[in-house]
Amino acid sequence: MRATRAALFLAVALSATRARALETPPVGGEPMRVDLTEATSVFYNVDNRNSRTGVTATRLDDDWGVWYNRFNAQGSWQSFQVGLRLDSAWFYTAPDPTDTALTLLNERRTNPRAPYGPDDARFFVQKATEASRELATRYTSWLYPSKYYVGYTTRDVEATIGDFYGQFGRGFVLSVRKLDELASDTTIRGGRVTARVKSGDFRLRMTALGGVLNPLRLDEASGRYLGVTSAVTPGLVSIAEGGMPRAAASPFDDAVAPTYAPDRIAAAELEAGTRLVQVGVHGSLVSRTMLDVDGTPAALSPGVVRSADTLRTGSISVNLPDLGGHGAAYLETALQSLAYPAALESASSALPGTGYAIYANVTLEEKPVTLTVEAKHYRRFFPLVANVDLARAPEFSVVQYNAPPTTEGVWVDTEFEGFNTCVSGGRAKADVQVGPHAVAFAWIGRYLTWAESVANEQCRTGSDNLNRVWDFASGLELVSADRRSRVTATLGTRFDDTARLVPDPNGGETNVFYRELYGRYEATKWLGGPFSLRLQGWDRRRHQTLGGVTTPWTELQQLVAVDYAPRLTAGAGFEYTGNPQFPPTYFNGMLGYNFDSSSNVSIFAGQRRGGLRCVSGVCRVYPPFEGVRVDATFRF
Amino acid sequence: MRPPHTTTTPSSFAAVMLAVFISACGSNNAGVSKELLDAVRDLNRPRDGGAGASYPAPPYGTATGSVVQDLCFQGWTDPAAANFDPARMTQICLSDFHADPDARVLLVESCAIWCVACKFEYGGSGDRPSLSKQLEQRKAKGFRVMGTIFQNGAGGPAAPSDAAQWASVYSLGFPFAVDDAHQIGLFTSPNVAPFNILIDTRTMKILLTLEGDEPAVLFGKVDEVLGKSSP
Repeated sequence: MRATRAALFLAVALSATRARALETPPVGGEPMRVDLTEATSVFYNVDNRNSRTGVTATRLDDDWGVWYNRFNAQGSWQSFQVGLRLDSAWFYTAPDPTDTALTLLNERRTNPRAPYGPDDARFFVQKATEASRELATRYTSWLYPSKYYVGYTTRDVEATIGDFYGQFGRGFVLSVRKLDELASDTTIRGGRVTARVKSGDFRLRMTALGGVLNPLRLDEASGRYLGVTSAVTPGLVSIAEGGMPRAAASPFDDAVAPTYAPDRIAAAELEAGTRLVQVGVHGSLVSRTMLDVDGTPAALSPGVVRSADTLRTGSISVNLPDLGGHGAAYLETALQSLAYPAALESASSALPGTGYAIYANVTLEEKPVTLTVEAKHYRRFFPLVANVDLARAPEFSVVQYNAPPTTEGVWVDTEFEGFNTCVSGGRAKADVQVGPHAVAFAWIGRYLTWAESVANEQCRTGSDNLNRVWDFASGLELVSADRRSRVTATLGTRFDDTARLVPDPNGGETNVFYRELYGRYEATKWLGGPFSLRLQGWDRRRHQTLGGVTTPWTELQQLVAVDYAPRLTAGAGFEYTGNPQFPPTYFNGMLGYNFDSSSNVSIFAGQRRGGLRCVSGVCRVYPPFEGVRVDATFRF
Repeated sequence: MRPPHTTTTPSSFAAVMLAVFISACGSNNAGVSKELLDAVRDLNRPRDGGAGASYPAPPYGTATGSVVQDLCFQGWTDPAAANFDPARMTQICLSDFHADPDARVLLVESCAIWCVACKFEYGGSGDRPSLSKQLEQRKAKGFRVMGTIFQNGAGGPAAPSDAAQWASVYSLGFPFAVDDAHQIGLFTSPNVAPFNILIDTRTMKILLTLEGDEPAVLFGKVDEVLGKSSP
C-alpha cells in the first residue's frame, strides 16, 4: 500500500514541477479562475551530533532524506471557491533498525574482541526492538489530501464545507491557524457558516462551526507522522479521515496503535456593536475520542487536559477600538470546564475544577508617546491540547486548539511548564517617537505564577508554589529617511525567583529559578543600487538553577545576508551554545533566487541548532539539523 | 505451568532473526556476526535466579493494556538502607514485584538529572507530596514504586554515582536503579522525562503511560485501580 502511495506521489510531483494558472472561457457569464501552487523541498540529514550512548532515537535522526511536496490548487467562480492541497513525502533513504542496534552495541562494548554474552544479546534485541518501534511512526512515505474545501462567499453570508481556520476573540475559546515558524497548520474539517447583518453603524456577525480537528500529519523536521486507526475514527469521523495516514505496525510488533485520535469540535460566536464598541460571546465544545482499554476509556497520552473527554470553554469580550482617537481597549473573560471519564473523576480528588481567565489590553496614544498595557489573570485555564500519543509522536505536542494570550513578546520561550495556566500579571510598554524616524521603547513585566516550578493542576496559590517574575527591556527602532535602511535593537533581562528555597546544584539552597540577559537586533542597510545588507541576531546569557546546567551559559545566534534585489539572496549563519549538553558551534549558508514575486528556489547547507521555539506561548522542541535542503515554490 | 520468564518473545525473536538475516545480506554495516546470532538464540534459555514465581507469557508490548516485558536494572531495593553505596547495588527486575503477593500497582518512574519536573515529582513542594510520601500513603493497599535514572546532566548515560546522588538528595527508601542502557526507551523518546508507567502487578499489564509530571492524573489512576483491587 505504501509503495502504491509512493508511486502516486511521484506521479503527482513529477507532473506538477512547474504549475500554471488557468482562466477558463466564461461559464455562466464569468470565467473560472484556477490558481496552482507547487512547494517542494528535498533534504538530506547527516549526523546531527546529538547522539547519546545507548539512546536509539538519537541515531535514528541521522542519515535520512525526504522529498516533501505540497501541491495546492484553488479555484474560484462567482461566489464559489474550491481548494485542494495534496501533501506527500517520499523518504528516499532512512536508517535501518538492525544496523542501528549493532552500532549501539559495538559502542557499548569496551572490548570489541570479547565474545558476545547474554547481556550483549539482550541489549541488541532491545535496541533493535526500540528502533523498529520508533521507525513505525517515522520515515514512511505518504500521499494524502491534507486540506480541501468548498466555499461560498457573499457580502452577508460565508459558508465553507471542508477545511477552514478559526479564531474567536483573543484565542481563549478557539485558535486554530497556521504557524509556519512551528511547522504547525491545524484546521477544522467540517462546516462553518458566518452571517453578517449591517444596519447603519450597527454590525452583527454570527458564526457557527463544527467538525473534526485536522492537524498536519507529517512533520518534516523529524520525519514523524500521525497515524489513525479505525478504533479512533468512529462514525462521521471516518469520512473526515478518509485518505489520511494510518498507523502501521513495526517488524517486531504487529500491534497497531494510533498516534492521533481526532477530536470533534462545535463552536459558535456572536459579535455585535458599532464602530465604538463591540461585544462578543464565544463558545466551544471539544469532544475527544478515547481508546477502549479493557473497558476503560483512555487518552492516547494521559494528562490533566488530554484525559478530559469533554472540554467546554466560553468567553465574553468587549472591544473599544477607538477611545476618542486616543487609543483602544479590549477585555475578555473566559470560563473553562474539563470533564473526565467517570472512573477517573471519582478516584482523583486533585483534578482541576472550573477554570477562568481574565485578559485586558489598553492602548493609549498621546503623541509622541504610545502606552500599551496588557494584563492577565488565569486560574486553572489550560491550552486545549490534542489527543496525541506523546510517547511515540512527541513532535506533535504543539497541536492545540486555543492560545490564551501570554502578554509577553511573541518570541519568549521562558514561561516554563504550566506558567500560563495559573498566573497573574502583565506588561506595560511605552513607545516614544524621539525623532522623525526613530522610536525608543521600553517595557516592564511583572508576573506571579504558581505552576511553573511545581505541578499545580488545581492552581493552589500558596507561597510554596509561587514564582515571582520581573521582565525588563528597552530598545529603539531607527529608519533611514529614504526608508531603505532600518535597525531594531532590544536589550532585556528576566528575573524569575521562587518564593521558597530550592536546592542549588552548586550547593546549598537558593531562590533563583531563572535569570537571563539578552540582546536582539535586526538591521537592513541599503548599500546602493540593488544591494542591501541584512543582519539578525539573538544573544543570550542564561542561568537555570534546576535545568541540568549548573552554571550560567551563553547562546549566540547570528545571521548575515546580502540581497541583490530582486533576484538573489546569499546568507551565512553562526550559532553558539555554552550548554554542555549540546555541541558548541553551528555554521550554515544559504543561497536564494527569485524567479518572480511568488516563485523562488533556495538551497541551505550546514548546521542548525535545535531547541525550544515558541510563538505567542505555543512552543515545540526542534531537533538539530545538519545537512542540505533545497526548497522551491512556484506560484501563479 | 507457565514457562520461565525471558526478555524476548518467540515471535519477536524470530523477527529479529529475520531482520538480522536481511540486514546481514543487504545493509551497509559489516553485518551481524554468527556469534551474536548464537547469543541471541541462547536468550530463549531460562534466566538464572529470579523471584521464583513465573512471569506472564509473551507476547509483550509497550501500549496500554499489553503485558510489559520483564526489565531488569542495577539498583537498590532500599537506597537509604544501603547508604546509597553503588557497590551495594543488586539486580532488580519487574518480576520481583510480580512475585510480591501484597503488591497491586507498580509505578516505574524514569527521570534524568537535567529534568526539572522530575525534581519536583520526587521532592514534592508545599501541599504537593513527595513521591516517597505518595508511596507511604498507599503502600498498605498494594502500591509500589521503582524509580530509574537514565541520563546525567550532560545528557550522557547515567552512572551508579548519579543514581546515588539522586537517591540521597531525596532520601529514597523505595527501589531505585540506574538505567544506563535506557531500557525505558522502549516506551518513549529520550527527551521525555519524567516518564511514568503504571503496571498491574498481578497481570503485569500496563495500566497507563504518562509523559511529564501530572500527579492528579497519575495518582488518580493509582487510586482508581487500588479502589477496585481486592487483597
